[in-house]
Amino acid sequence: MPATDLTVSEILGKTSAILHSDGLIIYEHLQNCNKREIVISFRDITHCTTAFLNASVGKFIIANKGKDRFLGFADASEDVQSKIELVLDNARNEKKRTILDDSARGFLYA
Amino acid sequence: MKNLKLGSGEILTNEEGYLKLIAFYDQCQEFRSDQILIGFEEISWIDGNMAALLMAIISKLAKENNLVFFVDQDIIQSRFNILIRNGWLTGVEFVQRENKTEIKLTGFQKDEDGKFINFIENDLLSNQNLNINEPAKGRLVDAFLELFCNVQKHARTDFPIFACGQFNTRVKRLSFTLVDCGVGYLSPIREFTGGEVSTSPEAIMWALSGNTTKMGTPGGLGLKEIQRFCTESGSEFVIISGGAYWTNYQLFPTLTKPFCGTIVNVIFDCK
Repeated sequence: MPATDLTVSEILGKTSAILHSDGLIIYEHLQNCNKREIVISFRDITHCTTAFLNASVGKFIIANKGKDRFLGFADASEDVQSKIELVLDNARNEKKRTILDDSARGFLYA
Repeated sequence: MKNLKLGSGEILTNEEGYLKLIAFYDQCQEFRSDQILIGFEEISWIDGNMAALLMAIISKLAKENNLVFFVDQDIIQSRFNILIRNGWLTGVEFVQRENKTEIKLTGFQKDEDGKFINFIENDLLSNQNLNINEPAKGRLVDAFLELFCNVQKHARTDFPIFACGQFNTRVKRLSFTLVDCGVGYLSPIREFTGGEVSTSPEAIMWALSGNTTKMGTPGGLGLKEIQRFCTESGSEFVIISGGAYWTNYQLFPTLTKPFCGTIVNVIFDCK
């Protein structure tokens, strides 16, 4: 098991990783962590949203694109792990983040 | 005291029901520092979950127009007992039924995620009328939490978020309503897109397409997950924001009367 650098439940003081604002707290800790590879632990986290992960992990990926910094994850439940993968995929794929999907635009301007 | 009617007929969880409550809100807007008797005389039915929108309306008017609201307790007790059982009207004694169909009206500050989780897991999903397996329950919890996060992030208001639910035993549907009195979808999305998104219908479609206003962060997964869940389970997902009305049974939003903030209805098929 990799050594953990940040434990979400300890930083937030609760077992839910829900809010965007809480995600930003974790993001600040990640940015301030002076390591090339940072391992985040989700020990004791019972609930986790993509909104939280977007604001923490996803934001970190985008902010450090092209830089030699990596994230590792520990103690994440299957549910949390699948959300992390979703968020990482969304963060890495810039085309998914562009404005107004063409199909939606087609409906609006048809 | 001014006697203002809540309308006539049924107030259901649909656009017509929404418009009746908004019409009441518009009536009240004419008054300042006054007392209002909410007239239920011509109402034949109200979906209990719509108490969330009614409470949001009353709270906003109480704060901004300094209005004080009253009801005829006899009418509520005899014909709209649901509004007592779900906590919209408090201070009235009632006998708790064994087979609870109501999910209590609850207000949340935007940082009360723990309280919201408890509400969803214990008040909402513990309703014995629900027949949902554990994996589906897990998905539901996730969906509601994403909903709460959307409100917390985008509403830009310190007004409480109101939530209420009601299980309809006849059609086996659980209706859940979440209301915020914030700025709605359009304002933050229009700012973010530099005006490319300029109407509320466009804003709802933009949000549903997986976009986000969170600068430098990926996003857009919450609403899409809720939409997918509802479509797969035969449930209805409704977003009302800035005068636009959208459901997952429509291709794109239609126009309706605006209210501040956003109303989200999720009507779960529990058959």
